[in-house]
Amino acid sequence: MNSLPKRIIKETERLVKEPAPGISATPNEENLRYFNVVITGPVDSPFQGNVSHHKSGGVFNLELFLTDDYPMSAPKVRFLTKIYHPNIDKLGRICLDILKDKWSPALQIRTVLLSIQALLSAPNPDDPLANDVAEHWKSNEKDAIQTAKEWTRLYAA
Amino acid sequence: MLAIDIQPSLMCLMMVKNPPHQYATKKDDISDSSGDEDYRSSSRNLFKFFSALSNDVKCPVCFEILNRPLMLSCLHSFCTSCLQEVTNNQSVTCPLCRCVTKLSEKGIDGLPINRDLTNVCESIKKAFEFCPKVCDHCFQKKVTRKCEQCCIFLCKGCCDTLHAKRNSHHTIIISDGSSVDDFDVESHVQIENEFDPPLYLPFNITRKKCTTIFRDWVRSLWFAPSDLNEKLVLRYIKPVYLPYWIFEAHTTTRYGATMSNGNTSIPQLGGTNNINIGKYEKNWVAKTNLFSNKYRQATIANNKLIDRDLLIQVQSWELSNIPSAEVTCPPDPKILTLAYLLDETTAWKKNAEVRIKQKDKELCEERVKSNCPIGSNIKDIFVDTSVTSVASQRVFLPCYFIKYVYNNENFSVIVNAQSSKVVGHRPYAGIGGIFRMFKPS
Repeated sequence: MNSLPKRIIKETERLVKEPAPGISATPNEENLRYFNVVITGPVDSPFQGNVSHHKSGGVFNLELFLTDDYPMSAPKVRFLTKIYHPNIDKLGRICLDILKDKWSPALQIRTVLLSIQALLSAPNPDDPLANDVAEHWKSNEKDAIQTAKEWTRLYAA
Repeated sequence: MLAIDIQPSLMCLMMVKNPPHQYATKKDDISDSSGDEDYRSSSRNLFKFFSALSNDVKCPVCFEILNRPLMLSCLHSFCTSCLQEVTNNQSVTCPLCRCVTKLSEKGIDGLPINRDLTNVCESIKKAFEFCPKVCDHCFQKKVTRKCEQCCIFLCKGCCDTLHAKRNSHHTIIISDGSSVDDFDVESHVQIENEFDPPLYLPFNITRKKCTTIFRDWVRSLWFAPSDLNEKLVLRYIKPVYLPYWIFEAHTTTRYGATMSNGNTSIPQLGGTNNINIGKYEKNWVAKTNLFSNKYRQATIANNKLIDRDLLIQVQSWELSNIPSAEVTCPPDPKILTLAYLLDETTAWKKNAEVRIKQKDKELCEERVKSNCPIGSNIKDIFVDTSVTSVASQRVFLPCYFIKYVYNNENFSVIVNAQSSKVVGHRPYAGIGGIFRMFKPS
Protein backbone atom coordinates (compact mmCIF):
# COMPACT_ATOMS: atom_id res chain seq x y z
CA MET A 1 0.00 0.00 0.00
CA ASN A 2 1.36 3.37 -1.01
CA SER A 3 1.78 5.91 1.70
CA LEU A 4 -1.10 8.31 1.94
CA PRO A 5 -0.27 11.99 1.35
CA LYS A 6 -0.56 14.05 4.50
CA ARG A 7 -3.09 16.25 2.81
CA ILE A 8 -5.54 13.36 2.45
CA ILE A 9 -5.10 12.43 6.09
CA LYS A 10 -5.74 16.00 7.16
CA GLU A 11 -8.82 16.25 4.98
CA THR A 12 -10.16 12.95 6.26
CA GLU A 13 -9.63 13.94 9.85
CA ARG A 14 -11.44 17.20 9.40
CA LEU A 15 -14.29 15.57 7.47
CA VAL A 16 -14.83 13.09 10.26
CA LYS A 17 -14.33 15.58 13.08
CA GLU A 18 -16.20 18.59 11.69
CA PRO A 19 -18.60 17.28 9.05
CA ALA A 20 -20.35 19.83 6.86
CA PRO A 21 -24.10 19.99 7.55
CA GLY A 22 -25.99 17.36 5.60
CA ILE A 23 -22.81 15.68 4.39
CA SER A 24 -20.94 12.72 5.77
CA ALA A 25 -17.91 11.10 4.24
CA THR A 26 -16.36 7.97 5.73
CA PRO A 27 -13.15 6.50 4.44
CA ASN A 28 -13.10 2.81 3.61
CA GLU A 29 -11.10 0.81 6.14
CA GLU A 30 -9.32 -1.14 3.43
CA ASN A 31 -8.65 1.73 1.05
CA LEU A 32 -8.31 5.16 2.56
CA ARG A 33 -8.69 6.80 -0.84
CA TYR A 34 -12.22 5.46 -1.18
CA PHE A 35 -15.02 7.23 0.67
CA ASN A 36 -18.62 6.33 1.33
CA VAL A 37 -20.53 9.59 1.14
CA VAL A 38 -24.04 10.39 2.31
CA ILE A 39 -25.64 13.68 1.28
CA THR A 40 -29.08 14.66 2.54
CA GLY A 41 -31.24 16.50 0.04
CA PRO A 42 -31.21 20.27 0.59
CA VAL A 43 -34.23 21.94 2.15
CA ASP A 44 -36.75 23.36 -0.38
CA SER A 45 -35.43 21.15 -3.15
CA PRO A 46 -37.24 18.20 -4.75
CA PHE A 47 -34.66 15.97 -3.08
CA GLN A 48 -35.58 17.01 0.46
CA GLY A 49 -37.78 14.01 1.07
CA ASN A 50 -41.22 14.08 2.56
CA VAL A 51 -40.98 16.36 5.58
CA SER A 52 -44.73 16.62 6.15
CA HIS A 53 -44.89 12.91 6.90
CA HIS A 54 -42.06 13.26 9.41
CA LYS A 55 -39.92 10.98 7.41
CA SER A 56 -36.24 11.67 7.35
CA GLY A 57 -35.28 13.66 4.28
CA GLY A 58 -33.87 12.32 1.05
CA VAL A 59 -30.67 10.44 1.73
CA PHE A 60 -28.33 9.96 -1.21
CA ASN A 61 -25.40 7.60 -1.17
CA LEU A 62 -22.37 8.44 -3.27
CA GLU A 63 -18.93 7.00 -3.73
CA LEU A 64 -15.83 9.17 -3.96
CA PHE A 65 -12.40 8.03 -5.03
CA LEU A 66 -9.17 10.00 -4.82
CA THR A 67 -6.91 9.07 -7.72
CA ASP A 68 -3.14 8.83 -7.31
CA ASP A 69 -2.90 12.31 -8.87
CA TYR A 70 -5.09 13.89 -6.26
CA PRO A 71 -5.03 16.83 -5.48
CA MET A 72 -3.63 17.56 -8.96
CA SER A 73 -6.66 15.93 -10.53
CA ALA A 74 -10.26 15.90 -9.37
CA PRO A 75 -11.72 13.12 -7.24
CA LYS A 76 -14.05 10.68 -8.96
CA VAL A 77 -17.55 10.99 -7.57
CA ARG A 78 -20.68 9.04 -8.47
CA PHE A 79 -24.20 8.80 -7.12
CA LEU A 80 -25.10 5.31 -5.97
CA THR A 81 -28.69 6.22 -5.18
CA LYS A 82 -30.98 6.70 -8.16
CA ILE A 83 -31.83 10.37 -8.63
CA TYR A 84 -33.96 12.32 -11.12
CA HIS A 85 -31.76 15.27 -11.97
CA PRO A 86 -30.82 16.86 -15.32
CA ASN A 87 -27.09 16.90 -14.47
CA ILE A 88 -26.86 13.37 -13.12
CA ASP A 89 -27.26 10.39 -15.41
CA LYS A 90 -28.59 6.88 -14.95
CA LEU A 91 -25.17 5.61 -13.86
CA GLY A 92 -24.90 8.30 -11.22
CA ARG A 93 -22.25 10.29 -13.09
CA ILE A 94 -22.29 13.96 -12.28
CA CYS A 95 -21.92 16.87 -14.68
CA LEU A 96 -20.11 19.48 -12.66
CA ASP A 97 -17.39 21.75 -14.02
CA ILE A 98 -15.14 21.52 -10.96
CA LEU A 99 -15.03 17.75 -11.35
CA LYS A 100 -13.71 18.21 -14.88
CA ASP A 101 -11.89 21.12 -16.50
CA LYS A 102 -12.49 23.59 -13.67
CA TRP A 103 -10.78 21.44 -11.07
CA SER A 104 -8.22 23.24 -8.93
CA PRO A 105 -5.88 21.63 -6.41
CA ALA A 106 -7.06 24.16 -3.84
CA LEU A 107 -10.46 22.49 -3.89
CA GLN A 108 -11.06 19.69 -1.41
CA ILE A 109 -13.33 16.73 -0.80
CA ARG A 110 -15.42 19.01 1.38
CA THR A 111 -15.84 21.71 -1.27
CA VAL A 112 -16.64 19.12 -3.94
CA LEU A 113 -19.37 17.60 -1.80
CA LEU A 114 -20.76 21.04 -0.95
CA SER A 115 -20.88 21.82 -4.66
CA ILE A 116 -22.76 18.60 -5.33
CA GLN A 117 -25.19 19.49 -2.56
CA ALA A 118 -25.64 22.91 -4.18
CA LEU A 119 -26.22 21.25 -7.55
CA LEU A 120 -29.18 19.42 -6.00
CA SER A 121 -30.65 22.79 -4.99
CA ALA A 122 -30.05 24.33 -8.40
CA PRO A 123 -30.44 21.87 -11.28
CA ASN A 124 -29.07 23.26 -14.52
CA PRO A 125 -31.01 21.80 -17.50
CA ASP A 126 -29.04 23.99 -19.93
CA ASP A 127 -25.92 21.93 -19.41
CA PRO A 128 -27.46 18.48 -19.24
CA LEU A 129 -26.03 15.07 -18.78
CA ALA A 130 -29.32 13.18 -18.72
CA ASN A 131 -30.94 14.59 -21.86
CA ASP A 132 -34.40 13.17 -21.29
CA VAL A 133 -34.56 14.55 -17.76
CA ALA A 134 -33.31 17.95 -18.94
CA GLU A 135 -35.96 18.03 -21.68
CA HIS A 136 -38.61 17.17 -19.12
CA TRP A 137 -37.28 19.92 -16.85
CA LYS A 138 -37.34 22.51 -19.61
CA SER A 139 -40.75 21.59 -21.06
CA ASN A 140 -42.65 21.06 -17.82
CA GLU A 141 -40.63 22.00 -14.75
CA LYS A 142 -43.50 21.43 -12.33
CA ASP A 143 -44.05 17.90 -13.58
CA ALA A 144 -40.30 17.18 -13.59
CA ILE A 145 -39.99 18.35 -10.00
CA GLN A 146 -42.93 16.09 -9.15
CA THR A 147 -41.06 13.13 -10.70
CA ALA A 148 -37.89 14.09 -8.82
CA LYS A 149 -39.86 14.13 -5.55
CA GLU A 150 -41.36 10.76 -6.43
CA TRP A 151 -37.93 9.28 -7.14
CA THR A 152 -36.61 10.74 -3.88
CA ARG A 153 -39.46 9.08 -2.01
CA LEU A 154 -38.92 5.78 -3.82
CA TYR A 155 -35.14 5.49 -3.75
CA ALA A 156 -33.75 7.96 -1.24
CA ALA A 157 -36.02 7.55 1.77
CA MET B 1 -9.03 33.00 12.17
CA LEU B 2 -7.70 32.63 15.67
CA ALA B 3 -10.58 30.78 17.15
CA ILE B 4 -8.83 29.96 20.39
CA ASP B 5 -8.44 31.85 23.58
CA ILE B 6 -5.16 33.67 23.24
CA GLN B 7 -4.95 34.80 26.84
CA PRO B 8 -3.85 31.47 28.41
CA SER B 9 -1.39 30.86 25.61
CA LEU B 10 0.30 34.16 26.16
CA MET B 11 0.34 33.47 29.86
CA CYS B 12 2.00 30.20 29.06
CA LEU B 13 4.60 31.94 26.93
CA MET B 14 5.30 34.25 29.81
CA MET B 15 5.52 31.29 32.14
CA VAL B 16 8.20 29.77 30.00
CA LYS B 17 10.22 32.95 30.24
CA ASN B 18 9.78 33.71 33.94
CA PRO B 19 8.55 30.82 35.98
CA PRO B 20 6.12 32.21 38.50
CA HIS B 21 7.18 32.17 42.09
CA GLN B 22 5.10 29.26 43.27
CA TYR B 23 6.67 26.94 40.68
CA ALA B 24 10.14 27.76 41.78
CA THR B 25 10.07 27.86 45.56
CA LYS B 26 12.27 25.23 47.01
CA LYS B 27 10.18 23.92 49.84
CA ASP B 28 7.05 23.75 47.76
CA ASP B 29 8.07 21.45 45.01
CA ILE B 30 6.36 18.25 45.93
CA SER B 31 3.62 18.63 43.46
CA ASP B 32 0.14 19.61 44.19
CA SER B 33 -1.45 17.81 41.31
CA SER B 34 -3.18 21.05 40.41
CA GLY B 35 0.05 22.73 39.44
CA ASP B 36 0.89 19.86 37.18
CA GLU B 37 -2.39 20.07 35.33
CA ASP B 38 -1.97 23.80 34.93
CA TYR B 39 1.25 23.30 33.14
CA ARG B 40 -0.15 20.62 30.91
CA SER B 41 -3.18 22.63 29.87
CA SER B 42 -1.04 25.69 29.18
CA SER B 43 1.31 23.81 26.93
CA ARG B 44 -1.71 22.47 25.13
CA ASN B 45 -2.94 26.02 24.65
CA LEU B 46 0.45 26.98 23.34
CA PHE B 47 0.23 24.23 20.78
CA LYS B 48 -3.29 25.31 19.78
CA PHE B 49 -2.09 28.88 19.52
CA PHE B 50 0.69 27.96 17.11
CA SER B 51 -1.63 25.65 15.19
CA ALA B 52 -4.09 28.47 14.70
CA LEU B 53 -1.30 30.80 13.62
CA SER B 54 0.01 28.26 11.15
CA ASN B 55 -3.42 27.88 9.51
CA ASP B 56 -2.93 31.30 7.96
CA VAL B 57 0.34 30.37 6.33
CA LYS B 58 -0.58 26.94 4.99
CA CYS B 59 -0.31 26.11 1.33
CA PRO B 60 -3.82 25.55 -0.10
CA VAL B 61 -2.47 22.70 -2.23
CA CYS B 62 -0.48 20.51 0.17
CA PHE B 63 -1.99 21.84 3.44
CA GLU B 64 1.48 22.15 4.95
CA ILE B 65 3.15 25.31 6.20
CA LEU B 66 4.36 27.06 3.03
CA ASN B 67 7.77 25.92 1.89
CA ARG B 68 9.67 28.49 -0.22
CA PRO B 69 6.47 30.29 -1.28
CA LEU B 70 6.41 31.75 -4.78
CA MET B 71 4.04 34.55 -5.66
CA LEU B 72 1.76 34.60 -8.71
CA SER B 73 0.59 37.74 -10.51
CA CYS B 74 -2.68 37.55 -8.52
CA LEU B 75 -0.52 37.83 -5.34
CA HIS B 76 -1.48 34.36 -4.11
CA SER B 77 1.47 32.30 -2.85
CA PHE B 78 2.14 28.55 -3.01
CA CYS B 79 5.01 26.19 -2.24
CA THR B 80 7.57 25.96 -5.02
CA SER B 81 7.09 22.20 -5.21
CA CYS B 82 3.29 22.53 -5.43
CA LEU B 83 3.46 25.05 -8.28
CA GLN B 84 5.79 22.71 -10.10
CA GLU B 85 3.00 20.14 -10.15
CA VAL B 86 0.34 22.63 -11.19
CA THR B 87 2.15 24.33 -14.09
CA ASN B 88 2.18 23.38 -17.77
CA ASN B 89 5.55 25.18 -18.03
CA GLN B 90 4.14 28.12 -19.96
CA SER B 91 1.68 29.43 -17.42
CA VAL B 92 0.23 28.76 -13.99
CA THR B 93 -3.46 28.89 -13.23
CA CYS B 94 -3.86 30.02 -9.65
CA PRO B 95 -5.44 27.18 -7.67
CA LEU B 96 -7.34 29.73 -5.60
CA CYS B 97 -8.66 32.28 -8.10
CA ARG B 98 -7.89 30.71 -11.50
CA CYS B 99 -5.96 33.82 -12.61
CA VAL B 100 -3.40 32.85 -15.21
CA THR B 101 0.22 33.88 -14.64
CA LYS B 102 2.40 33.68 -17.73
CA LEU B 103 5.82 32.21 -17.08
CA SER B 104 9.09 33.39 -18.57
CA GLU B 105 11.52 30.96 -20.18
CA LYS B 106 12.86 30.28 -16.69
CA GLY B 107 9.52 28.69 -15.86
CA ILE B 108 8.60 28.47 -12.19
CA ASP B 109 12.02 29.77 -11.18
CA GLY B 110 11.18 33.11 -12.78
CA LEU B 111 8.44 33.73 -10.21
CA PRO B 112 9.30 35.99 -7.25
CA ILE B 113 9.84 34.44 -3.83
CA ASN B 114 7.56 35.86 -1.19
CA ARG B 115 10.35 36.63 1.30
CA ASP B 116 8.31 38.06 4.16
CA LEU B 117 6.00 35.09 4.08
CA THR B 118 8.99 32.74 3.97
CA ASN B 119 10.36 34.32 7.15
CA VAL B 120 7.02 34.04 8.92
CA CYS B 121 6.74 30.38 7.92
CA GLU B 122 10.23 29.56 9.14
CA SER B 123 9.51 31.26 12.48
CA ILE B 124 6.31 29.29 12.95
CA LYS B 125 8.08 26.03 12.12
CA LYS B 126 10.65 26.85 14.79
CA ALA B 127 7.92 27.73 17.26
CA PHE B 128 6.45 24.27 16.77
CA GLU B 129 9.73 22.66 17.68
CA PHE B 130 9.65 24.63 20.88
CA CYS B 131 6.26 23.52 22.08
CA PRO B 132 5.44 20.09 23.46
CA LYS B 133 4.01 17.71 20.96
CA VAL B 134 0.32 17.03 21.37
CA CYS B 135 -1.71 14.35 19.63
CA ASP B 136 -2.53 15.46 16.06
CA HIS B 137 -6.02 14.12 16.44
CA CYS B 138 -7.41 15.12 19.82
CA PHE B 139 -4.99 17.99 20.58
CA GLN B 140 -5.24 16.90 24.19
CA LYS B 141 -2.87 14.13 25.08
CA LYS B 142 0.79 13.55 24.82
CA VAL B 143 2.09 11.88 21.68
CA THR B 144 3.15 8.29 22.13
CA ARG B 145 2.42 6.85 18.70
CA LYS B 146 3.49 7.68 15.22
CA CYS B 147 2.10 6.07 12.11
CA GLU B 148 4.78 5.76 9.44
CA GLN B 149 2.28 5.58 6.58
CA CYS B 150 0.08 8.43 7.68
CA CYS B 151 2.96 10.52 9.05
CA ILE B 152 0.87 11.54 12.01
CA PHE B 153 1.54 11.66 15.72
CA LEU B 154 -1.12 10.28 18.00
CA CYS B 155 -1.82 9.48 21.60
CA LYS B 156 -2.58 5.88 22.52
CA GLY B 157 -6.36 6.38 22.69
CA CYS B 158 -6.64 8.05 19.29
CA CYS B 159 -4.26 5.55 17.74
CA ASP B 160 -6.36 2.67 19.01
CA THR B 161 -9.57 4.11 17.60
CA LEU B 162 -8.18 5.44 14.33
CA HIS B 163 -5.86 2.60 13.54
CA ALA B 164 -7.78 -0.26 15.07
CA LYS B 165 -8.42 -1.94 11.75
CA ARG B 166 -5.47 -0.57 9.84
CA ASN B 167 -2.76 -2.03 11.96
CA SER B 168 -1.96 -4.72 9.45
CA HIS B 169 -0.99 -2.20 6.78
CA HIS B 170 0.45 0.52 8.92
CA THR B 171 3.63 0.65 10.90
CA ILE B 172 2.95 2.16 14.26
CA ILE B 173 5.97 3.42 16.14
CA ILE B 174 5.56 3.45 19.85
CA SER B 175 7.39 5.63 22.28
CA ASP B 176 6.67 6.01 25.95
CA GLY B 177 6.59 9.76 25.42
CA SER B 178 8.61 10.18 28.55
CA SER B 179 10.60 13.20 27.60
CA VAL B 180 8.32 16.15 27.99
CA ASP B 181 10.52 18.95 26.81
CA ASP B 182 11.51 17.93 23.33
CA PHE B 183 9.51 14.95 22.35
CA ASP B 184 11.14 13.25 19.47
CA VAL B 185 9.60 9.97 18.49
CA GLU B 186 12.54 8.94 16.38
CA SER B 187 15.07 9.06 19.19
CA HIS B 188 13.73 6.32 21.40
CA VAL B 189 11.45 4.03 19.55
CA GLN B 190 10.47 0.44 19.71
CA ILE B 191 8.87 -0.85 16.60
CA GLU B 192 5.88 -3.16 16.84
CA ASN B 193 6.75 -3.89 20.41
CA GLU B 194 4.51 -2.60 23.14
CA PHE B 195 6.27 -1.53 26.31
CA ASP B 196 5.95 -3.89 29.19
CA PRO B 197 3.00 -2.75 31.15
CA PRO B 198 4.00 -1.05 34.39
CA LEU B 199 3.57 -2.73 37.73
CA TYR B 200 1.66 -1.07 40.50
CA LEU B 201 2.85 -2.16 43.91
CA PRO B 202 0.14 -2.42 46.55
CA PHE B 203 -0.38 0.10 49.33
CA ASN B 204 0.58 -1.71 52.52
CA ILE B 205 -0.54 1.03 54.87
CA THR B 206 -3.75 2.99 55.04
CA ARG B 207 -3.94 6.74 55.20
CA LYS B 208 -4.83 6.48 58.90
CA LYS B 209 -1.80 4.32 59.61
CA CYS B 210 0.28 6.79 57.60
CA THR B 211 -0.85 9.61 59.88
CA THR B 212 0.34 7.59 62.88
CA ILE B 213 3.67 6.86 61.21
CA PHE B 214 4.07 10.54 60.41
CA ARG B 215 3.29 11.61 63.98
CA ASP B 216 5.75 9.04 65.34
CA TRP B 217 8.37 10.37 62.96
CA VAL B 218 7.75 13.94 64.12
CA ARG B 219 8.06 12.86 67.78
CA SER B 220 11.30 11.03 67.08
CA LEU B 221 13.04 14.05 65.56
CA TRP B 222 16.04 15.39 67.41
CA PHE B 223 16.47 19.07 67.95
CA ALA B 224 12.97 19.75 66.77
CA PRO B 225 10.98 22.63 68.23
CA SER B 226 9.28 21.29 71.35
CA ASP B 227 5.85 22.39 70.19
CA LEU B 228 6.23 20.92 66.72
CA ASN B 229 3.84 18.02 67.16
CA GLU B 230 1.07 20.20 68.62
CA LYS B 231 1.53 23.27 66.48
CA LEU B 232 2.08 21.77 63.05
CA VAL B 233 -0.87 21.90 60.69
CA LEU B 234 -1.29 19.06 58.24
CA ARG B 235 -2.18 20.44 54.84
CA TYR B 236 -2.72 17.13 53.17
CA ILE B 237 -1.83 13.47 52.98
CA LYS B 238 -2.04 12.41 49.39
CA PRO B 239 -1.59 8.88 48.08
CA VAL B 240 0.64 8.93 45.02
CA TYR B 241 2.23 6.41 42.70
CA LEU B 242 5.90 7.26 42.19
CA PRO B 243 7.40 6.00 38.93
CA TYR B 244 10.56 3.93 39.07
CA TRP B 245 12.68 2.18 36.52
CA ILE B 246 13.96 -1.16 37.75
CA PHE B 247 17.00 -2.52 36.02
CA GLU B 248 18.23 -6.04 36.34
CA ALA B 249 21.78 -6.26 35.10
CA HIS B 250 24.11 -9.22 34.74
CA THR B 251 27.76 -8.42 35.09
CA THR B 252 31.01 -10.19 34.40
CA THR B 253 33.92 -8.77 36.25
CA ARG B 254 37.60 -9.39 35.93
CA TYR B 255 39.22 -8.40 39.15
CA GLY B 256 42.51 -8.99 40.87
CA ALA B 257 45.44 -7.59 42.72
CA THR B 258 49.09 -8.10 43.31
CA MET B 259 49.73 -9.55 46.72
CA SER B 260 52.75 -10.55 48.64
CA ASN B 261 53.14 -13.98 50.13
CA GLY B 262 52.98 -13.40 53.87
CA ASN B 263 55.17 -16.40 54.73
CA THR B 264 58.26 -15.19 52.96
CA SER B 265 58.38 -11.80 54.55
CA ILE B 266 60.92 -12.89 57.13
CA PRO B 267 63.20 -10.26 58.55
CA GLN B 268 66.78 -10.82 57.47
CA LEU B 269 69.59 -10.65 59.96
CA GLY B 270 72.29 -8.24 59.16
CA GLY B 271 76.01 -8.65 59.78
CA THR B 272 75.66 -6.98 63.08
CA ASN B 273 73.22 -7.78 65.81
CA ASN B 274 70.87 -5.12 64.66
CA ILE B 275 67.80 -6.30 62.93
CA ASN B 276 67.59 -4.64 59.62
CA ILE B 277 63.92 -3.84 59.63
CA GLY B 278 63.91 -2.23 56.25
CA LYS B 279 64.86 -5.34 54.36
CA TYR B 280 62.06 -7.74 53.64
CA GLU B 281 62.15 -10.23 50.93
CA LYS B 282 58.74 -10.04 49.33
CA ASN B 283 57.28 -12.28 46.68
CA TRP B 284 54.71 -10.27 44.79
CA VAL B 285 52.21 -12.42 42.96
CA ALA B 286 49.56 -11.08 40.60
CA LYS B 287 46.22 -12.82 40.87
CA THR B 288 43.18 -12.34 38.71
CA ASN B 289 39.74 -13.79 38.92
CA LEU B 290 36.40 -13.73 37.16
CA PHE B 291 33.15 -12.99 38.92
CA SER B 292 29.61 -12.94 37.58
CA ASN B 293 26.73 -11.44 39.45
CA LYS B 294 23.21 -10.12 39.06
CA TYR B 295 22.11 -6.73 40.37
CA ARG B 296 18.79 -5.05 40.77
CA GLN B 297 18.71 -1.30 40.80
CA ALA B 298 15.70 0.95 41.13
CA THR B 299 15.83 4.49 39.85
CA ILE B 300 13.16 7.08 40.35
CA ALA B 301 11.81 8.29 37.02
CA ASN B 302 10.30 11.57 38.05
CA ASN B 303 12.74 13.92 39.70
CA LYS B 304 11.04 17.17 38.88
CA LEU B 305 8.55 17.21 41.67
CA ILE B 306 10.74 16.18 44.53
CA ASP B 307 13.21 18.32 46.34
CA ARG B 308 16.84 17.38 45.78
CA ASP B 309 17.78 16.20 49.24
CA LEU B 310 14.58 14.20 49.55
CA LEU B 311 15.21 12.73 46.13
CA ILE B 312 18.54 11.26 47.18
CA GLN B 313 16.83 9.40 50.01
CA VAL B 314 13.88 8.32 47.89
CA GLN B 315 16.30 7.15 45.23
CA SER B 316 17.81 4.64 47.63
CA TRP B 317 14.52 2.97 48.45
CA GLU B 318 14.79 -0.62 47.43
CA LEU B 319 11.64 -1.80 45.77
CA SER B 320 10.46 -5.10 47.12
CA ASN B 321 7.39 -7.31 47.03
CA ILE B 322 7.21 -7.10 43.30
CA PRO B 323 4.29 -9.26 42.35
CA SER B 324 4.59 -11.65 39.48
CA ALA B 325 1.18 -10.74 38.08
CA GLU B 326 1.19 -7.76 35.82
CA VAL B 327 -1.02 -4.90 36.87
CA THR B 328 -1.30 -2.49 34.01
CA CYS B 329 -3.56 0.16 35.43
CA PRO B 330 -3.68 1.73 38.85
CA PRO B 331 -5.76 -0.42 41.21
CA ASP B 332 -7.37 2.77 42.45
CA PRO B 333 -7.78 5.20 39.55
CA LYS B 334 -8.36 8.09 41.95
CA ILE B 335 -4.78 7.89 43.18
CA LEU B 336 -2.50 10.34 41.45
CA THR B 337 0.03 8.59 39.22
CA LEU B 338 3.10 10.69 38.55
CA ALA B 339 4.36 10.72 34.99
CA TYR B 340 7.56 9.12 33.75
CA LEU B 341 9.83 12.04 33.05
CA LEU B 342 12.98 10.02 32.58
CA ASP B 343 13.29 7.63 29.70
CA GLU B 344 14.84 4.24 30.02
CA THR B 345 18.16 5.03 28.37
CA THR B 346 18.80 8.13 30.43
CA ALA B 347 17.77 6.41 33.64
CA TRP B 348 20.20 3.60 32.91
CA LYS B 349 23.12 5.72 31.71
CA LYS B 350 22.87 8.45 34.28
CA ASN B 351 22.02 6.47 37.31
CA ALA B 352 21.56 2.72 37.42
CA GLU B 353 24.70 1.76 35.48
CA VAL B 354 26.94 3.90 37.67
CA ARG B 355 25.43 2.52 40.85
CA ILE B 356 25.62 -1.08 39.72
CA LYS B 357 29.26 -0.69 38.73
CA GLN B 358 29.98 0.92 42.08
CA LYS B 359 28.29 -1.95 43.92
CA ASP B 360 30.22 -4.48 41.86
CA LYS B 361 33.48 -2.67 42.55
CA GLU B 362 32.89 -2.69 46.28
CA LEU B 363 31.93 -6.34 46.22
CA CYS B 364 35.01 -7.37 44.26
CA GLU B 365 37.38 -5.32 46.38
CA GLU B 366 35.86 -7.03 49.38
CA ARG B 367 36.55 -10.42 47.79
CA VAL B 368 40.15 -9.48 47.09
CA LYS B 369 40.66 -8.45 50.69
CA SER B 370 39.02 -11.52 52.16
CA ASN B 371 41.09 -13.81 49.93
CA CYS B 372 44.30 -12.27 51.04
CA PRO B 373 46.17 -14.30 53.67
CA ILE B 374 46.68 -12.58 56.99
CA GLY B 375 49.92 -10.74 57.20
CA SER B 376 50.36 -10.26 53.49
CA ASN B 377 50.13 -7.04 51.56
CA ILE B 378 47.94 -6.05 48.61
CA LYS B 379 48.58 -3.53 45.94
CA ASP B 380 47.24 -2.59 42.50
CA ILE B 381 43.71 -3.75 43.03
CA PHE B 382 41.77 -3.57 39.80
CA VAL B 383 38.12 -4.20 39.06
CA ASP B 384 36.95 -4.24 35.48
CA THR B 385 33.19 -4.59 35.31
CA SER B 386 31.35 -5.22 32.09
CA VAL B 387 27.58 -5.34 31.98
CA THR B 388 26.52 -8.31 29.91
CA SER B 389 22.77 -7.86 29.82
CA VAL B 390 20.19 -5.42 31.10
CA ALA B 391 16.46 -5.81 31.50
CA SER B 392 14.19 -3.03 32.61
CA GLN B 393 10.77 -2.73 34.05
CA ARG B 394 8.51 0.10 35.03
CA VAL B 395 7.18 -0.01 38.54
CA PHE B 396 5.01 2.38 40.47
CA LEU B 397 5.82 2.67 44.15
CA PRO B 398 2.92 3.65 46.38
CA CYS B 399 3.72 6.63 48.59
CA TYR B 400 1.98 9.25 50.65
CA PHE B 401 2.95 12.83 50.01
CA ILE B 402 2.44 14.84 53.14
CA LYS B 403 2.56 18.57 53.46
CA TYR B 404 2.52 20.37 56.75
CA VAL B 405 2.90 23.90 57.91
CA TYR B 406 4.78 24.96 60.99
CA ASN B 407 5.47 28.53 61.89
CA ASN B 408 4.23 29.70 58.49
CA GLU B 409 6.67 27.49 56.68
CA ASN B 410 5.85 24.62 54.37
CA PHE B 411 7.46 21.21 54.83
CA SER B 412 7.23 18.11 52.70
CA VAL B 413 7.37 14.49 53.76
CA ILE B 414 7.19 11.31 51.74
CA VAL B 415 6.11 8.05 53.33
CA ASN B 416 6.84 4.83 51.52
CA ALA B 417 3.55 2.95 51.65
CA GLN B 418 5.37 -0.34 51.10
CA SER B 419 8.09 -0.20 53.72
CA SER B 420 6.73 2.62 55.94
CA LYS B 421 10.01 4.47 55.59
CA VAL B 422 9.81 8.21 56.04
CA VAL B 423 11.87 10.97 54.49
CA GLY B 424 11.07 14.61 54.83
CA HIS B 425 11.83 18.20 55.63
CA ARG B 426 11.59 19.42 59.18
CA PRO B 427 12.16 22.53 61.21
CA TYR B 428 15.06 22.70 63.66
CA ALA B 429 14.81 24.28 67.04
CA GLY B 430 16.64 27.57 67.11
CA ILE B 431 18.90 28.45 70.01
CA GLY B 432 15.79 29.70 71.78
CA GLY B 433 14.15 26.40 71.08
CA ILE B 434 16.96 24.38 72.58
CA PHE B 435 16.94 26.67 75.52
CA ARG B 436 13.24 26.06 75.97
CA MET B 437 13.86 22.33 75.89
CA PHE B 438 15.84 22.55 79.06
CA LYS B 439 13.51 24.92 80.81
CA PRO B 440 11.08 23.21 83.15
CA SER B 441 7.64 24.11 82.08
